[in-house]
Amino acid sequence: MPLLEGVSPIRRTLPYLQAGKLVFKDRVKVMTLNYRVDERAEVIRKHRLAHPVNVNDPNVFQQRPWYIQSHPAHHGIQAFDHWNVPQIQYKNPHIQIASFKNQAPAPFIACYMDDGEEVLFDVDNHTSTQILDRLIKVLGKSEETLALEALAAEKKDNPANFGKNCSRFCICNVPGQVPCPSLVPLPKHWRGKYHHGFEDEDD
Amino acid sequence: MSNSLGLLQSTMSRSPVLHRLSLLRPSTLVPCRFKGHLLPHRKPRWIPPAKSKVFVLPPPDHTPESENTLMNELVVNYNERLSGVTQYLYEDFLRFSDVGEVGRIEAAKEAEEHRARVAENDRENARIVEARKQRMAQELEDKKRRAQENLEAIQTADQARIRDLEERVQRETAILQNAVTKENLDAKIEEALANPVDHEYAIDTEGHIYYGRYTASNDVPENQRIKIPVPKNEMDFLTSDDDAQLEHES
Repeated sequence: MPLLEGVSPIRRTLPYLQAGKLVFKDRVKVMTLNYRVDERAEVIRKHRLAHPVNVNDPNVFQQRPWYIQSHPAHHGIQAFDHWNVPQIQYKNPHIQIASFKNQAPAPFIACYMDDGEEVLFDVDNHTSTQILDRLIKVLGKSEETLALEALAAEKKDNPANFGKNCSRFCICNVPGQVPCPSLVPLPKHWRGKYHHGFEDEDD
Repeated sequence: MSNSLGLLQSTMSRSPVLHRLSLLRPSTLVPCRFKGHLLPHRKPRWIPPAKSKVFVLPPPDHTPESENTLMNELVVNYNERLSGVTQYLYEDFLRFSDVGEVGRIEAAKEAEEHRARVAENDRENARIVEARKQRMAQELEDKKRRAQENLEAIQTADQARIRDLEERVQRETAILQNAVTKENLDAKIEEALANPVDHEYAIDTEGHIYYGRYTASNDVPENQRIKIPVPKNEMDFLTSDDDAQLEHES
């Protein structure tokens, strides 16, 4: 296993991603997050190659003072974006997730349905857990539905099944069953042209 | 044929060893359909081009690159949109057509539940908006109060500074009243001559000081010796007022 690099690399491990609780309903197509971050932190994040000593150097970062400052009311959704969004994206691969930073004064989440409906979540002063609970409650699949879907998915894995997406494509792979006629020709008296007398079996 | 096949199958199903060794294992099977009928219909790979065609170049394509790009874009867009429509129709099929009336009823129920939850969410949003308004008003109040406190602190500091300055001015004025001027020069000289000041002193290694030119330090009793005044710390010494220091000494 290679070294895990970057910020909070546990977010990219499979057990962590699989532990996500939120699976959106089928009607949800897009989720957008809006929140504020410290302007200074954002500029520093963009200049990743800047030497840490130079970060406080006004010659390097001319843009001062930093007018946009994050508010404690935005900390919950920041943590949500950092910790929970990877899990959500993993569990909902067909949903588009976008984060907009410093575009709106208040922190909110907007979800868009397949029929164009927009569901807003005002997450002012929420913790990330509260945000997740609200999303699960309003737009997430219930635990019963998830259990049923898991059961249906398991049924496809039944070893007795055969066909597309199964462990074996054809029943002829099973010992004791009739092989495919392309591999072993059928007995002549099973074949129409001999059975109906168009061809002679002895030939 | 049928007998031999049946025998083979029954033998295989009875004996796993035979099955493992059998030529009928799927990995070793070769399709016999089209055998001898479908002939290979291209030149083998190891045969070079015909001598008459070796120097015949394929016709160059003069289509502008922009046109190719445009065509590619159109094709990609078309495929994307068509696949989107297909996906939508497939999902619609899964939702409604598959189970007929039951699916419709289920979908209507689900939609009703969704509406209820969204309505609940809207109420929650309204509550949060109200809470935020209160919070922002409270924050504004706090900000005003803090600004007022800062203002008051600055005013207090200013007043203290002005008071100090006034005191100092008064002190200086009092000192200046004893100053030597042209008018009282003779009187001051006479006074100085009448009251000679002895600035001499001696110190010892134990930190005592003995004032006066004619003081015999050994004759001063132990309990009457004066310690050299020392500031409590260096900063006191550095920041102390010279006049205050003088007053302290005198």
